Amino acid sequence: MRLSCLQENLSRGLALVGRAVATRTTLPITQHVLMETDQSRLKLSATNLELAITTWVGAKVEQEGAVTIPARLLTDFVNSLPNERVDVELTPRPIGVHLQCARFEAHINGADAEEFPPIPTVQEGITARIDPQVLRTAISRVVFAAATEETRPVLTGVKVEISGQRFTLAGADGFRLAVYRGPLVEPVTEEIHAIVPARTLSELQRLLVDQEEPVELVVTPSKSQILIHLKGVEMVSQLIQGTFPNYAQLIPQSFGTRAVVDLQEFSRAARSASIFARDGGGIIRLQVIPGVEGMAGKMVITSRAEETGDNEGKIDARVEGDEAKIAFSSRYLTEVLSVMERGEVALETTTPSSPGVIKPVGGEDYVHVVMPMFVQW
Amino acid sequence: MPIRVLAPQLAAQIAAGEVVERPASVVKELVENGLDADATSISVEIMGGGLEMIRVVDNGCGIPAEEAELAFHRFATGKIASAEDLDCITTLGFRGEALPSIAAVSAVALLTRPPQEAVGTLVEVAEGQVIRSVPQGSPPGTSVSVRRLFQSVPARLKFLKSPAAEASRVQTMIQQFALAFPHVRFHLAIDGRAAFASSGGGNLRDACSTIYGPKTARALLEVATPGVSGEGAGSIGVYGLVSPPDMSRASRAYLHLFMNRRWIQSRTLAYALEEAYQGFLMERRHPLAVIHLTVPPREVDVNVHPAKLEVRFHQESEVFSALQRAVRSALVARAPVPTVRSGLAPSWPAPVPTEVGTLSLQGVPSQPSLSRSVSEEGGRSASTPGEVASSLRVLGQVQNLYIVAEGPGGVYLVDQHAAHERVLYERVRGEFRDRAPQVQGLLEPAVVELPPSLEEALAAHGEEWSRYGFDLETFGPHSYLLRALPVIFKDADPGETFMSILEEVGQGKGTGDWEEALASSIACHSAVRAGKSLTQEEMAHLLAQLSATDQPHTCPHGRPTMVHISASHLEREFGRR
Repeated sequence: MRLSCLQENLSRGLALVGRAVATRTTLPITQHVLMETDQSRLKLSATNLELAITTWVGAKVEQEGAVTIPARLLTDFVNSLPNERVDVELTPRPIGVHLQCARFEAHINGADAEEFPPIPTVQEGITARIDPQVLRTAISRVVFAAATEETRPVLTGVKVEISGQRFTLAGADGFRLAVYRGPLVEPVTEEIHAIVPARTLSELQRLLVDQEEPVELVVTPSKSQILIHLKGVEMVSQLIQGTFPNYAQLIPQSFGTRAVVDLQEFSRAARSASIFARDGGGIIRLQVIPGVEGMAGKMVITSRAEETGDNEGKIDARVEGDEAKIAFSSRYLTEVLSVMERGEVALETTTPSSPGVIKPVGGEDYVHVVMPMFVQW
Repeated sequence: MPIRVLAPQLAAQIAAGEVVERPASVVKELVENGLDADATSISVEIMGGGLEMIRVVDNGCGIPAEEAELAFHRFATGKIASAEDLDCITTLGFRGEALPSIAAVSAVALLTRPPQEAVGTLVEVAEGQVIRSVPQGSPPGTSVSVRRLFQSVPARLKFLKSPAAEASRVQTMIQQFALAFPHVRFHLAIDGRAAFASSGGGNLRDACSTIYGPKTARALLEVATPGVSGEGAGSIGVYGLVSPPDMSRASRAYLHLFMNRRWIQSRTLAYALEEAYQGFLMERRHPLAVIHLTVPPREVDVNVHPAKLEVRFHQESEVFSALQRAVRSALVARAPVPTVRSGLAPSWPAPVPTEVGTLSLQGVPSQPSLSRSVSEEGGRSASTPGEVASSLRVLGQVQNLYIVAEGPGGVYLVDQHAAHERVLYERVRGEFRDRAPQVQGLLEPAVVELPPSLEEALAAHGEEWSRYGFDLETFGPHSYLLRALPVIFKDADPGETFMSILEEVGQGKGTGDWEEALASSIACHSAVRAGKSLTQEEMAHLLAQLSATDQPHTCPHGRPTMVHISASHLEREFGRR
């Protein structure tokens, strides 16, 4: 293998695939990056056996070949080089690469490309196309609600459902549920149901920032892997096997009280309440008071810590229904408010012990269900 | 007092004590008689925990009219005839003690008819004396009603538990029979209410399902090693269902061992079973298992104990290893083995030991003993217990378990789990004291299926559970919905954790000790585990929380949360002084 490419491109490519390099592993080869020539490009791949990322770097290929190199070392060295042409050459004994850029050169030992775990390829399957910015928004609204602990593995994933002209993402951790629905670029003929690891979607969210062309999602017929096609990047992720809770039945269909408030104000009040909630077990209490005789209603946001003190914030609210009280974990409340963007949000409640629903008013099709904390008022 | 021969009635009452200990043992003896009579359906009914009434009805072979009265004579049995028969007992009973013993301490009515006879017989016995024996119409089979149990033996009565507790023992007993005889239909009614019913379909997994619920039953792994006929090691058959490695219980109450369909208790065999799980289960977790052993009758002596709960094997070590091997192989066959793909063998050679690495520790005189002198040292340099903990500076983490910190006069090692346990324990105790547990609702209620023993532990504190932060609702027979739980559990599996806690705290009475046990159990289950890597901030936060507790130096179980290596100790070890 002998090729040349620009330092800038190589560095960007390595940073991209670096997200899939295993951090702690019993299989040292997964801490390597696979470099191989692919027609007139250099193909870079990394995998931690759950997620694989592949990208291509424009290069002038003089001789074909492949090798694996420790990712961290290679990335750090390439990043330290000036933005000029980098010449890369495979060295047979010991196996590795020789790099030269301006007046710097280095030899890095690697391993035979044969030893690299095969990157799964998805040849056929059901394909759906989604606008990248729509998908990025959808992931940001849902992925934080997925569980981080492995006690119920299906909950560490996000349920992806694609059918007709729409896609649905749902994440839940046993205490809260987030569901986002959005449009597809073109309708699908066959439905897709898959549980994608939340970590895969977080990485995808990062990659989507500068994408403009529709993202292609392909699920293998065996439903064991998902392939995500971006411009110049491919991700392949294992899917989580199991049964995701039937989330539709967890979304309350009616409410006793609905309060519409400004997101920014609600968010600010929740953040200041969370400071006091920190020492008081993380409880934020919400009280919704309907307006009387044409006066605007109110939402009162309070928290208290036994020895530290307490606080209270009042914001205007358009209230439907009766006065209501509900208490939430401050983390759950601030997290959902921070991923929503602007405008108005509605809080729908029935009793202090039944789930609360937070959703944007108009625009997005997004629902967030949070189980309350049972407190004494 | 002169020595006298006891009156026959008194002697019989004393002897009865060995066989008939409590209502459950009466039920056991009567059900065993039914099974020995080849019944395919046995129904049991008890009132008032069995003290008011026990009735066992079977559809077995019945007793001919001329023998019915004889059945109440001590050592009268139709099951063996000679001493040689004792060597190869195939029936459950054989001692001829059951009916007379029961009759000695209660009023018994026996109604029986062999299918081939036209009229049945009714025999009534009180205080060991036959008071009536008349022909009477009867369905085929035998029905025995026992009333006024132990009324004539107040001493025994005193040691019985509440009717509910005795009923629960009877239920456990019937469930053991259902597991031992999956082809027999069992039905149990307690105070007129159906409490348990097995289908008698002959399938062990179905029988398990009626006791532990379908979800658990489906997950169990099958163990099957048929024994060859004849004698010696190969003749031991092992069949049963065992929990997969990812399912476990907090007590040994879920081991059901049967030897030739006889329920037995054997510490040795229980140990063999747990040995098979070596490496699959965490410490202090136990498997759930239903094991049928088939041993040639000559290889075992069941005549050790009147209630026949203990048996003696002639070749115990062979039974031991047959059981262990069978269970182990079922587990290994199903345990997840990491898949190594072809061409994926790790390519890195083992690191070459460096010069420093090869130095052996032989020169070091003896294992340095760390003085657990935290409290004394703390007493010298700090005035309150919290002060040592508050002045610790985190250096790092060892084995994802111990926090290494620098503090007054040397180095401190803090056990992260024990420390967190202490923090949570005091928090939970505080919440209990203020009657203000912090409770988080569950998005989907967890369904908890409880065996009778745990159901009783639950019932013993009824409404109180909500006061401690558990919001429960009855969901069906033996199953409950857990709708909310103390907020500190967030990361654990709600259903399993709740069951473990029930097992740990048991039924303890009163609120003082029980509440403490509950708090300590809650703390233990939600504390950070050994093996979890913590960030510098998390460790610092944990130490700060620890310093704010009343007893920062021990965990609720009394183990130390930290050990101290004094500066002077280090100086000595390094030869500086």
